Amino acid sequence: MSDPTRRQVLWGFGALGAAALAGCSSASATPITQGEVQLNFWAHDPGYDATFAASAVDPAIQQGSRWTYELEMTAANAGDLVSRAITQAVARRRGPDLIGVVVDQFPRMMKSRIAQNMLVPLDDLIQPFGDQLLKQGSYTSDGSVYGLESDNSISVLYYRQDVFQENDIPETVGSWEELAEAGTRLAATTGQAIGMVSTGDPGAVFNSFLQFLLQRGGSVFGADGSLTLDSDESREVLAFMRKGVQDGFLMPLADPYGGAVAAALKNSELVATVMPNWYRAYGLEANVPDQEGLWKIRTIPPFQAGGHIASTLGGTGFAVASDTARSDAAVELLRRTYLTPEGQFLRYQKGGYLPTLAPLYQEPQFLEITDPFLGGQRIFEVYGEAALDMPAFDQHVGMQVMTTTLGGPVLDAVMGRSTPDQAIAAAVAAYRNQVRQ
Amino acid sequence: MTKQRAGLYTALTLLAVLFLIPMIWGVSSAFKARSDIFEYPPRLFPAEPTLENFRAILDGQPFWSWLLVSTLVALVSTAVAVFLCCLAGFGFAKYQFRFKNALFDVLISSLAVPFAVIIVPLFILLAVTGTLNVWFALIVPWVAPAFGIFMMRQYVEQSVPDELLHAARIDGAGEFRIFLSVVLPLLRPAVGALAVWNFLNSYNSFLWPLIVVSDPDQYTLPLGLQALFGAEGRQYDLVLAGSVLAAIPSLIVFFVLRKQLLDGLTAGAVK
Amino acid sequence: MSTVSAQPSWWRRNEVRLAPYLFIGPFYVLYALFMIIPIGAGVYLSFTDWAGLGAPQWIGLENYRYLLQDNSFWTSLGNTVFYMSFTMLVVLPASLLLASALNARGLKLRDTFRIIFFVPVVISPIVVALVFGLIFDGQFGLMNALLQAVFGFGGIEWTTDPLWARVVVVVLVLWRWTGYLTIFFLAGLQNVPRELYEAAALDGAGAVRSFLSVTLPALRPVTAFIGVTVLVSTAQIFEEPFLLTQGGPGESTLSIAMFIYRAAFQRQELGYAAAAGVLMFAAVFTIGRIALRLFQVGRNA
Repeated sequence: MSDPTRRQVLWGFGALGAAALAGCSSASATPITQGEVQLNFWAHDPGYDATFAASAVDPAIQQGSRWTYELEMTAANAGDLVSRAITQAVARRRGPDLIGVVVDQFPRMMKSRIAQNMLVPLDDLIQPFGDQLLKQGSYTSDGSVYGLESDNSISVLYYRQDVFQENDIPETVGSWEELAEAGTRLAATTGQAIGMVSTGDPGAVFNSFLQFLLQRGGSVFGADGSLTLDSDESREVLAFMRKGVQDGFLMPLADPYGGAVAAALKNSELVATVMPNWYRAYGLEANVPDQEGLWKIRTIPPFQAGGHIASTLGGTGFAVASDTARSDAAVELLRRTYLTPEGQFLRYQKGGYLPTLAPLYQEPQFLEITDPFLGGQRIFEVYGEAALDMPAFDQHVGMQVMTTTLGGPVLDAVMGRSTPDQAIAAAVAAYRNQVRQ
Repeated sequence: MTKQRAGLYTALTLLAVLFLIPMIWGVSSAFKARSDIFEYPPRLFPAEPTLENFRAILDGQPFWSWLLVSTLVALVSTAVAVFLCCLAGFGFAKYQFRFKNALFDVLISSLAVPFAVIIVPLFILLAVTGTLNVWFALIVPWVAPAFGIFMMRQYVEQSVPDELLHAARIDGAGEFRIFLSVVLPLLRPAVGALAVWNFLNSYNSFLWPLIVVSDPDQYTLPLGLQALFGAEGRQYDLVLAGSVLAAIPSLIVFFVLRKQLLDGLTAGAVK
Repeated sequence: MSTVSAQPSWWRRNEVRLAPYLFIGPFYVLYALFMIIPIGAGVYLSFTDWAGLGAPQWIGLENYRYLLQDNSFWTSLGNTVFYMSFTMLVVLPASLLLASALNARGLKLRDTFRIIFFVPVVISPIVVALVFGLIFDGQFGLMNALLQAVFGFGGIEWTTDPLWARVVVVVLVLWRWTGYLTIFFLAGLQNVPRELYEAAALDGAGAVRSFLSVTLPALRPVTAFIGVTVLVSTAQIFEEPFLLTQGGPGESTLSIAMFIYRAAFQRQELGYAAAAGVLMFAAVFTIGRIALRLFQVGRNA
């Protein structure tokens, strides 16, 4: 037992009368330095399984590796993966070697140094890439990075080109305000909406607000961990969402994937929306495969008051369990799959995940990709431009509390039951009330 | 038939329809394509009924594994629970012993312990002792439900005459022997009720499995459906088809044993 | 048996005295292991700050102090009290009414009705919640479509308006539990001797008075039993709001059990969750005990 934290764990349970003290297994075995290694791989989305399975046997990616990998896949929903990983650690049983932590679950691991106790810090691994590696903030706890983002999750504007053309909405519209104006007219004449706001559970509401907020240049927490929600940007975004619902250009929907969205898309009631790159597969193609070729993407028109032409939502960071015989081997697999151009290209092919290495957006390999569902559009011309202007999302230990405390007030403001001022004040007060300073 | 009677039947029928609508709507929606589930105006009978949802959940999801886990857990825990409840109910009904009242009081009090109180510590204890798997955690802690014991005690008091026990003792039978060969057969109606009650509780239980089971290979039906629905994509179509299939076993058990359940369940409460 | 003795063995002599302990023993073993110990551990945890990994930090009464200041906790308490009031004041009387209707003399199809009303409780809550979600979708749900067709107005934000969301949750509760409780009342009613009613009728009592003077007193034991069970189970309501609204919009349908679940399994605040659990235990157990004693449940008169 070399690791003091493990002894502390045991001590903690001793007080609970745990019978588990017997059968104490060795905590850190001698690391496997080469040869065959079997890794437990936990993720919530089969796209990751496919990516890593392919990467493990890809000669170009694994060239010169000291290890050969055999992956044992486990799939579960995002919350369960984290719960179970922690439980396994508590019970001192073998858990995942590589785990995909969804971005909104990571704050759970920022509590009580769970990440520090369970995961390998990846700072040395990513240090050579500097700012060229995007999205480090989402999985940073106490200044160290514990997860590598799988997908740049760039939000763009999806729109039905046919509907825009029929109704004389210029595809090149220069600002959100102009698009909103066109959307208002469209809503008045045909009842169609050019965007959606979520009115479902607090998480969905929070996400729909966050995507607008980040685009507008606002944030919930700053990089330094301070609460930055109380800002003009937040109030403007809320007012904008409210106006959208009132004027009909934003459609209130319970959640962006559910049956209601399917109906709205199918009936062509929802003819445009801002969502991340993965929405093409999960939201559009899954619900309305027959609309293939009608949809296009572009960068999001900026707000006149400022901000970005892109936004972001979601993501999954892969992390490696520390102190096992397999940790080194797992880190190496992660590096080869996520931090090499070959790996990132494979990742796109297997799961549609966008590169997180900034220079790759200029590589012909990516630029030449066309998307049949989006009418053969060369999508990386859009994503490349958007990637240059992506707002940062900074993770915070209180993010989950914020998600629930912000959900209600945002919904109130969007539905016109309170003003943006009141909503932000209520959210900040509720957050401060629930988080121990 | 009087006017009053007609009113009564009308009211009851209307109410029955109201009770049935959600179920009928669920079944009907399971036969609709994803984008038709929310079509307007709503149609009770799908314009193009499809079995695609059923096919997709049976082929694409480990539905049979979920069903197997749920059913096995429910069957095992029901068998053990019924036996233990009968035994304890018999003990309380037909014996005089020290601390009987106090012990019975403890039993009844346990009905008032909210489950939410013990979930966190119990979860941790099971995690630490390495028993956090579906077979142990979903069965063992719950095989002696106080409600069941209470119910069986009431039933034993009503339906097992003391003379039978005396006669058996004079014949030299041991107490456990008496329980098995004399008492248990007399309890059959109540056993049926308790068994259905317990089976349905276990088969449908959600919160505890949600906490305990995180290994997808051990998902029960409610967990599988919940995970499927919660996964990216909110697949109403698949989940509804799965729900309809999931409801079948519980409905069969209920309909086969409905009389015993409805009569037996209430035996303890009435007296 | 190798030796045949005139004296029965020790076990045989003491069997009648000891057997009952063995018969009821399994319950108490399980009770100690899976209830008493967890409650004890919960009390201990409630004095600590613990995220699930590492040693719990002893923080004394801090968790309780935070709980009392936590608006979420009070919201969830308020909601839970609302659910409890609803079941006691609406579901319970509704079941009694339904049972009285089903008890009408010579009613045909009584069993069919009884079964139809009971079926909702047979179906898994996840299934039920899904279908209710389908019906009460604010944009495309069946309910709004029906209202639209009948009244020309169907824009109710069922699950996104704080008030309506609570309504949907209690409608679900009403739908799920009324039939279940009805069969208990019905069994109780069927045990009331007809002569009592006839005697009341001779005294010139109308339907209402005979209900008040005959039915209600006769139903006292069954009402007590149901009342206590319902009170205790509604105090821990979880599935209906969790599956239907996730506690939303905001926290307007959040129950105490959900609050505990959220703290423990979504926020890794296990000590805090335990403290909320202990407070809930104290409240429910006290109410439950008082109710049990008042109604004399489980006692032979």
